[in-house]
Amino acid sequence: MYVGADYERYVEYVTSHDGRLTALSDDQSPDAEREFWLSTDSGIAGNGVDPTSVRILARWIAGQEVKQERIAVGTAKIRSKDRYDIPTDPATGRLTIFEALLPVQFKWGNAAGGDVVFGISLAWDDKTQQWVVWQTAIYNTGGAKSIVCPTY
Amino acid sequence: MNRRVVGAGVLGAVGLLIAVWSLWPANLSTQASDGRRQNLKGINQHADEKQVSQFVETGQSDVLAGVVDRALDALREALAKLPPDQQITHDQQTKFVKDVGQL
Repeated sequence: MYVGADYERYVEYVTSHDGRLTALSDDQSPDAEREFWLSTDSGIAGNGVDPTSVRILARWIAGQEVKQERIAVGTAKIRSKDRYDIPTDPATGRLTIFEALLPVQFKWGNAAGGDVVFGISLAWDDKTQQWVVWQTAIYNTGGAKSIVCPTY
Repeated sequence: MNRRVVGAGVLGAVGLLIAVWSLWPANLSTQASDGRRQNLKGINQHADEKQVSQFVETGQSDVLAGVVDRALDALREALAKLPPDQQITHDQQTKFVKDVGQL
């Protein structure tokens, strides 16, 4: 949904995981929300991906942080405390979080693009027995001159 | 003009040519490309040169299938690095890979 710029699938994913669409205020139209999502997703949407190099890292196990090597020279992360009913602090909330890392090509507007890694962190929700998106990130491994936060 | 002065002039000209060559845009571009390749290799220690340059267009079903296939192996690799008391259940593994496939 993120790399394919499929907003309908994104909405389906969020609602099927008991999430709330909170990007915009209530008085804005669904079309405006769709356009907003597509604009924030445009850095990676429709660009090339390298599925053979997908990597997964354990970030938190039951509230214990798993130390990992640094993978980027710059990072743009975003998370929402209102999207899903899970604690925002992984330590006190005793969350288990795994992050999937997908090499993608990043391009923002007219600026020169470059190779980055799109990270999507999923946290296990004990109440609903499912994974929910906890954070999304763009990791600049040195291939892009500039990066911006992805859509959440 | 004595030989020492001429020799110094020739060495200076050679040095200038080397400096210009190293700053030539095409050369810088090659260095940047090599840097990106090395960075991507750093992200995936198992990737070879062919894999690193294997960027493909999105929106293809085989791309998504490739992500799911790789995600399953990648999750197993991540779990192999964790001690027995920090493992996740089979149900959690299955659901995780399914969600990653919706990226």
